[in-house]
Amino acid sequence: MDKLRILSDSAKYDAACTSSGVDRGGREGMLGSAVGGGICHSFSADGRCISLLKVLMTNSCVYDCQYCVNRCSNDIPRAAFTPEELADLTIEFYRRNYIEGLFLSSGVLKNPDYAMERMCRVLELLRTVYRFNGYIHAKAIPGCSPELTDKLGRLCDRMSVNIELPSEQSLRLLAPDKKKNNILGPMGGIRDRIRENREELALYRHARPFAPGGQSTQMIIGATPDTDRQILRLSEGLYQKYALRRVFYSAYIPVGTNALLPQNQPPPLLREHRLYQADWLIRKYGFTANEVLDEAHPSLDPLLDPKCFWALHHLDQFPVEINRADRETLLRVPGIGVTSVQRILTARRTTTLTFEDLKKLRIVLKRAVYFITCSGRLYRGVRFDPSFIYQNLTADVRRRPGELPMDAPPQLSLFEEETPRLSGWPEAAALPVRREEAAACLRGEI
Amino acid sequence: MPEGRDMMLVYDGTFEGFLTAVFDSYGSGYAQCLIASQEQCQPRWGMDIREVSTDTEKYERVMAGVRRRMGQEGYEQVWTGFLSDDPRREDILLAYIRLGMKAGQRIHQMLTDDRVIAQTKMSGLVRREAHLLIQFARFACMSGGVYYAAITPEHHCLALLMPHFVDRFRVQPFVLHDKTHQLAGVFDRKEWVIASAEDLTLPDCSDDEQAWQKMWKAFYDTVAIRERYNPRCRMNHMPKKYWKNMVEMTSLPTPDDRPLPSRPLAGDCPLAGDSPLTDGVTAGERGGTMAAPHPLASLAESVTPQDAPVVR
Repeated sequence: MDKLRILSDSAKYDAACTSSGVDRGGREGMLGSAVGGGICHSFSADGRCISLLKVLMTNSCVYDCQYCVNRCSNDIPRAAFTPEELADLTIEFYRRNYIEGLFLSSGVLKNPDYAMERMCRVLELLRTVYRFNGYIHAKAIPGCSPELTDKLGRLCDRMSVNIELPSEQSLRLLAPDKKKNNILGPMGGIRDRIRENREELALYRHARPFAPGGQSTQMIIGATPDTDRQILRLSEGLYQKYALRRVFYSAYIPVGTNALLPQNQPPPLLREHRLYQADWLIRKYGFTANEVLDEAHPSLDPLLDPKCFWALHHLDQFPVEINRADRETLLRVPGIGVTSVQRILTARRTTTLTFEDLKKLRIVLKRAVYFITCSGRLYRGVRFDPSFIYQNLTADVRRRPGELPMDAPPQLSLFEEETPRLSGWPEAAALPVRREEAAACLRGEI
Repeated sequence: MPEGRDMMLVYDGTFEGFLTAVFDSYGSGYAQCLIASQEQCQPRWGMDIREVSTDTEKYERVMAGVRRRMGQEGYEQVWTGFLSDDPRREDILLAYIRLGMKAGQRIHQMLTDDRVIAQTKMSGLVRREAHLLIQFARFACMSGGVYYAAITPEHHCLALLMPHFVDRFRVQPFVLHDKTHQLAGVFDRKEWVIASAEDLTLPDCSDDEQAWQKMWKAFYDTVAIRERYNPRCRMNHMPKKYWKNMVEMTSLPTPDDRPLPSRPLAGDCPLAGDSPLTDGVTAGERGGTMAAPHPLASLAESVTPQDAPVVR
């Protein structure tokens, strides 16, 4: 019991807990199945989904990464599961519908290969002895041998290698034992294996899938001075070059005492939230990282979501006619998501859509209303004017700043003084300055 | 002829009976046809009332007609909608079927039609509840090795839940008990049935059940990050009405007020004794609160759901 507490406590700062990406029905004589969309089985008090049993094999680690709770210089109790214990625990939880599967990671005990071997042992037990057919996410340890990565990939559904920090300098500074190549190496290896495996699967009936759920990674946000633009460009590169399914961002929670790290401040949750929004724009909405943030704007806007921000800077492409615009154009309208676009496309085949119809389709007009026309008409009361739109979009936040998804006090100061209302946005000089401030706030520099 | 009059068709409450009533509503010559089950029949004054006797030939014709005109998707809409507990269920379904028989496959594009909106909303609520229960149903191992879960859904979700759990727990016999409608889905590793649970009696929990539940609670409490505490978000994803059947949410009277386990800072050990779970509550209290909301406590006796296959 204490072991479980210690080892889940050590694992909880990992952001990813998704069980998606694999659709695999139950099999005769086996326990478990996997559902494409993933299933969350509970939600913890911080509102995060609990889908997988997220634990470490052991939290003993020879590395000394400054941002990590498990660094060897940190004085915390250490524990380790035996493979049998962990397999047993997984099965018992699974049988009670507590979890969707296992998320296994490990501290580096002795050396990367040794730690990986122990992880493989657990998965082997689960898959062969217990005949477990549910979801398994395994974390490859940077610097382990390719054979072990290969073995692990055959046993699990999704693999991940954590990139940890958004730039090499940061990594050098805070994680002296990890190197960029150590991380990207296995990532490339996994990508190649997945590709080869796809051919094998097509050619041979009995080929075993290699990480059918693809691979993901995560990085810590706010522990280092990297900008949002750098982070997004890195993510975009990872999606393109390494064919990752997901990049997870994890707001840094001060667990380290090193002078290089921010101390005693709330985790940058809003920044994390905005990064996820931007990440979705890149993955699902056809945006490039450069479009989301160009050179002049290194940070995401705390007041506006990235899509609104982009739209306000590209008003020449709006308003969009709901009844005629193609899918790609509709996807770029703020407040309209993939599902809404699908509904619009389906519904407009039989009728000409009005604003009333859009409401019936349960499309949220709150933000979209400033950027669309129905049969050439704007919504009643809407002026297609930059400062009108900007003021309305941010009205809620300015009225009730506490409702921003961050509760940190510093940024309240932004709204206290009545800044002169902007004219001719977005060129207005006043605004970028305020945004810089806000961004600095988000990074925790003020 | 009943010109300008309304009629109410009363059926026996089964899906087959309902489809028979749909059949009878066609060509009846009435201005408006309403359909109601025997239980919920509340005719208005001046309405003709007719009992519908379920007829295999008629309902099969309607079923085939729905499939032919509206496709499998249309049939699933009707079937899922029928599982709803909405009091206007029959009227919404009838309007939808009548529209669908005219419009055919095009009905799936008519997303702004009020009849389609009412129907998709109704079936959507059923699907949503089924999905939430797939997430939040909690099984417990009874002595004898049968797993048991109690649920209290608003709609008749059981029929949607069973295929999922049967597929998942191939090697594990289980009983899924719908307490709202007193039904039990029973799976014996080969076949599953839905039977009445009026006289369902249950054995005690298996010996180590308590231990596993405690383990799960310990995990649940530990995995939350204190600095990100956000009860609002949790409640959005996991509505409170499901908590009463969930092991991790019933351990303390008000889980909302429960302090998060403090994160150990350097040098501070997260030993068992420090946790509010073992420390803040006395053993007696914990036993007491466990017993009250736990689904098994009130029903504890010996296994055998009586009109269902005995699973051991």
